[in-house]
Amino acid sequence: MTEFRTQRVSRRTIGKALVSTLFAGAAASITSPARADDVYPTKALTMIVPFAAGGSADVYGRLLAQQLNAATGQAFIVEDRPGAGAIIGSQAAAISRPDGYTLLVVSNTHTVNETLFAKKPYKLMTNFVPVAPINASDLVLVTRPDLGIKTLADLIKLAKEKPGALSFASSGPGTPYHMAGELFKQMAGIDITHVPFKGSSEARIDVMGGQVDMMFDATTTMLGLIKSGKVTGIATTGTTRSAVLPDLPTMADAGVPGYEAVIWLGIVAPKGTPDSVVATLNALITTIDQKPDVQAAWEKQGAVPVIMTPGQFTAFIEADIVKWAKVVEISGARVNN
Amino acid sequence: MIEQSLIDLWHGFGIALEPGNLMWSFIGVLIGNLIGVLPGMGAISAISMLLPLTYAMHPVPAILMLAGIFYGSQYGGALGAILLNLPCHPPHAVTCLDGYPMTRQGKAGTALGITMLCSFFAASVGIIVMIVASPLLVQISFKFGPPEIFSIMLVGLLAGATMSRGSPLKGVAMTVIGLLLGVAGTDVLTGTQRFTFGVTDLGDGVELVALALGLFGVAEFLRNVNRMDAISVPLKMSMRDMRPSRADLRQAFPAMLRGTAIGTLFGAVPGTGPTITTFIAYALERKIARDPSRFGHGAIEGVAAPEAASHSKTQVDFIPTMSLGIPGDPVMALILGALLIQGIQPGPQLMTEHADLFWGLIASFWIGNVLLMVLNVPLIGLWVKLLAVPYRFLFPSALFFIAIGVYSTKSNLFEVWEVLAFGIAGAVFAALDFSVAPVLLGFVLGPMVEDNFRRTLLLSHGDAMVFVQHPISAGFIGISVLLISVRLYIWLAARRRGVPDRVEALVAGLPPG
Repeated sequence: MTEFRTQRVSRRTIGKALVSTLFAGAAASITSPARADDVYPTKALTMIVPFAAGGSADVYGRLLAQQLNAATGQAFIVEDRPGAGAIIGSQAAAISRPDGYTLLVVSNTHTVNETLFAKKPYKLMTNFVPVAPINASDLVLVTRPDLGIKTLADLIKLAKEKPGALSFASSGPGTPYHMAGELFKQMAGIDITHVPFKGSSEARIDVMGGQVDMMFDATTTMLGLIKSGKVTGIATTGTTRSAVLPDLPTMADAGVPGYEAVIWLGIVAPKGTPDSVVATLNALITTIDQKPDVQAAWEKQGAVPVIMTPGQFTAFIEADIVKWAKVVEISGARVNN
Repeated sequence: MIEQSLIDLWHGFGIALEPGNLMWSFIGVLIGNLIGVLPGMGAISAISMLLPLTYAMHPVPAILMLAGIFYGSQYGGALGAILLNLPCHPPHAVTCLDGYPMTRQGKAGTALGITMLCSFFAASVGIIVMIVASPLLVQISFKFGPPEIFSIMLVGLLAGATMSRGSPLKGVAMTVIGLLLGVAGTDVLTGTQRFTFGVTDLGDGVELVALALGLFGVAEFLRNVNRMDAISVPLKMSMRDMRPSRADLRQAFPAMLRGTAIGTLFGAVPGTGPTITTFIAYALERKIARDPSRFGHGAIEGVAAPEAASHSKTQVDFIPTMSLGIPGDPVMALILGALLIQGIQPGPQLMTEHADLFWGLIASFWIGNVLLMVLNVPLIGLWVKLLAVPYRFLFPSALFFIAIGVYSTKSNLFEVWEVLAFGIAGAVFAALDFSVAPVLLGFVLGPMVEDNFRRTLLLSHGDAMVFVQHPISAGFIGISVLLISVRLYIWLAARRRGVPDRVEALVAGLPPG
């Protein structure tokens, strides 16, 4: 029967398709052979990124993984496990074996979550040990161009004249963009309406389209839009001027003294990971942070390296939790799960 | 302005046709196609798998390859929908409705041929629109704020209710189930968790891919599991059967044009995803067809229009991605991420600062679509032969790939269970003669309608009049009112003539199903 022949052909075809797919996948994650003289790491590591692929945590996580791979000869496999405000991926890391072969990429989303989520399966400082910070990126406050506002002082004045009338967009309750706005609201003593969107893209379009008055956003994303006049840049959120937008003042200088809201990234490991492993990783990441080519690449993307010892990083995270706890409390944002 | 664009485009073709770049485009299209055919594997899995490869590459070939993967997997996804009733890429769910019946009638080759023609045509139109009308479309897209999106989605919800076969009451019931499923997860506006039952994995709601694959593909498998031998498909393997007949083409051509137009229009409106676009294209075909009863039983227009719509929408969607640096969907976000890794910042400046990349990419869109066509003319025969694999082998392997594919996007086992749960639910629905397409429609549209409604009121401080004060929004609200009142009028007129009172007619204040 001819049918039999066609069956054979197609089965082989499926096989071929299968093999080429699997091969493509394998080629992507092929590791260089282990070096025998290193005590740690001696095998491939997993770096869990609890955020969506293509986002800044993913991009920087992958760049770091590549550098760590070059430095140790071991593969650092980046695993994107997004969902539920980073809780799904973080929980997966929290319950993995504390042998130094599973790491978690954290950001200030994690410190905000400590207060934002009434119940969550882990606690940042109880279930993890801080290893090292990676870098920090400024945000920029932009307004819709037809609002006619050019400076932070004018913006605050307008907001005080019309309490509740102005609106700020964000990518959802509890996200860094939302928190930066709440912090602004509280420190400047103004009343602006929070308008959350499903993602930052939608929020951006509605600021450009003039539906929402302002938003805090990544400097690099906004650079071109500010230059082309699609939005007006007001101020950046770091303690010093941004390398990407050097013409804009910082929020602190322009009228809200003490304001700082950056997105920082760091690495933590499950609690119980040996101190020697934490020290080794901290040293490796510090070396990478100091490399001029890494610094130059990050600067273009709006991030500055942050270098701390594990102890300093622990103190930093604790302070950050306290800082955002107040903002979250006053804003009234809460996720009840 | 346009002259300059054409010169730049010519230059772009030069770049995209360089042997090295052409090779990477081809590799991308091929890999994308192969991965897209595997059930459960879509553009996201394919691109994230191959993303690390691009680190070591020059930006232009890297981006060309990723774009190639994107089309390849999109077309590959249509294959799964038509041949196996498996919508790996949710927009193809509508293609299943008539594509799969065509396969059962032994017209798989025709369906695939039409799909290919439509995708090529629609993509070409989309590319031309992108070159000529890009600044205009960006302007239009800014006009669509929360009230406008709410109103347009409301029309979509009403129009889309025609999706159901048979009883309109059942159709409405299924739409409501979809709406409820769509509500599950963290509320975008307040952060409140709804219908999550304390399960962290439900924090982001139900996964669209899992829902589509479960309700369509897995449900079909489960229903057929006891009659595997009985459902073999007649196979005629000559090249001539692959080619759509002239009558087929005559039927499909206007549908393709309408589908392309809908895709282009929706491409200009940000935040309306491709799934809705294909649903609306399908609903329109059914609405204007002389004999709507053919739909669901292998109507060729039901394949042509949604496929054309999805491809032109995708192409036009590239406009905000490239000209503003704002991704239209997760796949675009990944491609932008790849650009970022290369140290290239997407945005308005991309066109001037990286002209070679920008125009090379645009040229490669078209070349990629040509490659896809060249690749698939000989391959169609091969794809159709897939069906000759006995179902006892085909089903388990498809389920295997569904499990892997669904797991791979987020490395989360929970979503595999979701597929199973929806598969069982889908089989029950099918057994009781409920059609599942409205579930998907309600699921996609519901949250958009709700979020934008509440966002509008947030911005207007509770004043609902904004919906009719904004002209675009008012227009769409008017269409909705018209749709409902026409139905009501017909119902009242029928009642006065003494036609027995029927519940269906009442609930179908929506257009007839």
